[in-house]
Amino acid sequence: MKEKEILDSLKKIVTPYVQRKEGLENFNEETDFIKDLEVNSANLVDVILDVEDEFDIEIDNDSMSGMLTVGDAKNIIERKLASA
Amino acid sequence: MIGNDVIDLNLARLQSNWERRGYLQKLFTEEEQEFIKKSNNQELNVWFLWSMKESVYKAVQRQYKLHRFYDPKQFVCSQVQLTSGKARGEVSFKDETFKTTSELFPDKILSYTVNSEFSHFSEEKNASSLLLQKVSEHYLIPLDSLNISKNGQGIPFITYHGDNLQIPFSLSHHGNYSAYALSLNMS
Repeated sequence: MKEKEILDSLKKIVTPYVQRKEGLENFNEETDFIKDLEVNSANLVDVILDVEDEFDIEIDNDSMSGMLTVGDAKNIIERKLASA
Repeated sequence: MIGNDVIDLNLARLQSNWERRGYLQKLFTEEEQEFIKKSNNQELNVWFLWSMKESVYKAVQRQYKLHRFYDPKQFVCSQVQLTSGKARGEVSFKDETFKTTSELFPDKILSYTVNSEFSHFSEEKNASSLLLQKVSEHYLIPLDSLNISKNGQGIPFITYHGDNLQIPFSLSHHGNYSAYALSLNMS
């Protein structure tokens, strides 16, 4: 899967949980779910569950722990897809 | 270091579907899930345990100046004692245990680590100004020389004419409510 496809799909997944919509205008790998998009910490789980469903992967606790930015999420998805 | 967390239950209901498949498993250990399942008010207990974890996460992240992380199951709740409206409990993180106090209401929950000397809850979004007022009164410092700044890790600190006062505190806001926890007995 191409990087851009992953990023587009992540943007779609995260959008319903974003409380700071301006943060979506410049959505890139540096975008921080909590700082830039103001995703509520209890909604980060929803992002993770949606990513699991969308890509048919399982995100373990260790990977989840470091999933702070869009780039972190993209790297985890790529790693899981490669090992699937 | 101290930590606190406030949850607006009406907003939580709109923002999160805790009954979603897989949701509780990502946030809670098996014992915690069991505690929630067996309780009379599952929704309240989901957010009660979550607020305990969040307040201790804030406390340890500040104490050890940790890079932010997201690993709710590393914060394990135990020794929960519920009495009318008040609850006490413990949260372990790695090999440390922190005691917490929670105040449970039909529409909101407030949790804080017990080393907080003052915990104040507000029905408005003004906890940060109330916090500065409290500091100003306690130290007899003019309110307008106090400010709250954030460091690179996103951790806030109180400044007096720009200098960090090293006062341990924690702020939380959610929906209609906000709260601060503060310790003033510093060296």
